[in-house]
Amino acid sequence: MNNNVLKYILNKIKNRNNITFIIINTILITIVFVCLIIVRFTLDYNSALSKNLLGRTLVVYTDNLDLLRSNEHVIFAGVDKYRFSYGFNFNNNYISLMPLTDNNYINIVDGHGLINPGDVVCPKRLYPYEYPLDESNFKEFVNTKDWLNKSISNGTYTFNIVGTYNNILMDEANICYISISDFDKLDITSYNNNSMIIIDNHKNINSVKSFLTSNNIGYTEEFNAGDEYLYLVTIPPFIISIIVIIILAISFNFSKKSINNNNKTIGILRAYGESNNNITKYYICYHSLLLLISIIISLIISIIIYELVKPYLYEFYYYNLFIRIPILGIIIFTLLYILYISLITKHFINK
Amino acid sequence: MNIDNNRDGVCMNNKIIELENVKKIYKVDNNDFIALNINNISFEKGKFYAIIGHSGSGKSTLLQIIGLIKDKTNGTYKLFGKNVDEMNNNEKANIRNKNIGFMFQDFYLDEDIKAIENVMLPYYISQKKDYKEKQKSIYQMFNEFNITGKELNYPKCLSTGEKARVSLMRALINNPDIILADEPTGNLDKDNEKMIFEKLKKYASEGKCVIVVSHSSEVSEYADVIIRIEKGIITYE
Repeated sequence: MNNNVLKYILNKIKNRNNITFIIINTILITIVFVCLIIVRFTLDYNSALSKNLLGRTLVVYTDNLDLLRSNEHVIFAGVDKYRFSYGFNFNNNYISLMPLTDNNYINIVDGHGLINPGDVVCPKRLYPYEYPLDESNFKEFVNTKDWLNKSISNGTYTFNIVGTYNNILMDEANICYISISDFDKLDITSYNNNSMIIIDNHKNINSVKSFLTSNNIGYTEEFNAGDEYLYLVTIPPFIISIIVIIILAISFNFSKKSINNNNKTIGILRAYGESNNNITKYYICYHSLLLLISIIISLIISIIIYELVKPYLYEFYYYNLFIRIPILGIIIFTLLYILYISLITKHFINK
Repeated sequence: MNIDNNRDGVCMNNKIIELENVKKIYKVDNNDFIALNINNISFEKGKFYAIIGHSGSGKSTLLQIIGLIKDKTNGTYKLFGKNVDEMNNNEKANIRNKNIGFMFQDFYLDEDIKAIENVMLPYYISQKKDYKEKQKSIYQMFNEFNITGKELNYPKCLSTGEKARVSLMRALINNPDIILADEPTGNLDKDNEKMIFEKLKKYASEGKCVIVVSHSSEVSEYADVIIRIEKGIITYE
């Protein structure tokens, strides 16, 4: 490829038709990116639901713990007090302790898990206040890696922070976990004499409910936030699919039109000795650059929208909120789109 | 000077273009349309050839085949003694860049770049490194063509005559052996037409092979050889 000829071709990007293409493409790609952010959010939300302990906990009106444990999906059965957290203030931070009733629940990021009495693990990003989380204080998270090997105390008992767990997808903001035996030492009185069970997966709740009903055991669901937001799972991918098809169709027609409009330039280049291969490469660069401009602008707009909308999404999360930009999804879409445009360009030039 | 379809009537030493039984056939609605059907013709260096004929007679097709822009359907075409069928696309592209200069009908200047950049385009394609030095010599060329001061103008700011001159300069920038001009004076007034033909004649006399397709009757005053084409077949005049 010849740099001077390439500069000559790329100089044509300032053409008014290209500005129109960039604007239209930017709008469509922005919609795709926003939808990708929403899809990422729904995936994270569903993941949080299935993992979240509160969403897998039922209060049951029986003291027959053996019967409860006989169900294959029940991974913990105990007195109701284990549902409640023990909170206290320490160095102007509000610490909330709960017993770790499901050993598979947390993924340790730094340090190690609960080994010795007095060990405590805290969220990697700790929200050191009592809930509720709202838009005025959601930025005040603490990186608890800095707290490793330090102690916290409620005045009576001292706990050693031995590890941090990844709470990004878990809808957990301020719960630090200790062992059941350590929790039993704390002055927790359950409000009633009921029992509680923890189910292995959010998807199995209905099955366990059926089991309880068939054994004439009453129950109360602590937290259920899934069904009314089901539309979030289905609608964004559907919209994205339609948008992507529209974008592909517009790009196809634009590239075809662009090549036709550039017939004169292509003819001149051929007549003056430029090879077909080089001409194809020039126009692939040309269209890819147009596309990249659209994508960069779309990304900036998407991030602005994301920052503006984020505070309004708190209602979807009970305690926590981590909305992530789907960088991998955006990169994959960008690469595939550029590849698609390159193939179309090559097809029409050779034609 | 006569051109005989059945006999080579020119000195073989200067022949750089030789066409033998060349046909160009297009498929139109499943029928064959013969756009060009030439027995034998050759072109020499140092001569000014004028190809005349009615619209659709095959003049531009002949020029495009000579210029390696279009492929012939049948026949043999030798360029500088080499059969073009033995050349690959890159070799043909290289010859178009270095040995052939085109001057198009309506000039085909790029409106998005300046006059001097239009002229430089074939030189950029040649990938020679000294294009900055070459640009300096082009200013001299603008002077020779009497359009000094127009180098940095865009084509829309040039008159028709000035566009014609820029188009001719572009064809000459790589000092080609062959100049092919397709209706170079179609939109020009008499003075500009005369100037273009005089320039082409001058380059022919300097050893280039100049082939001009023209409707203009004035071309006959400048041409060494006049070739008439009717319905794709060459006659002579």
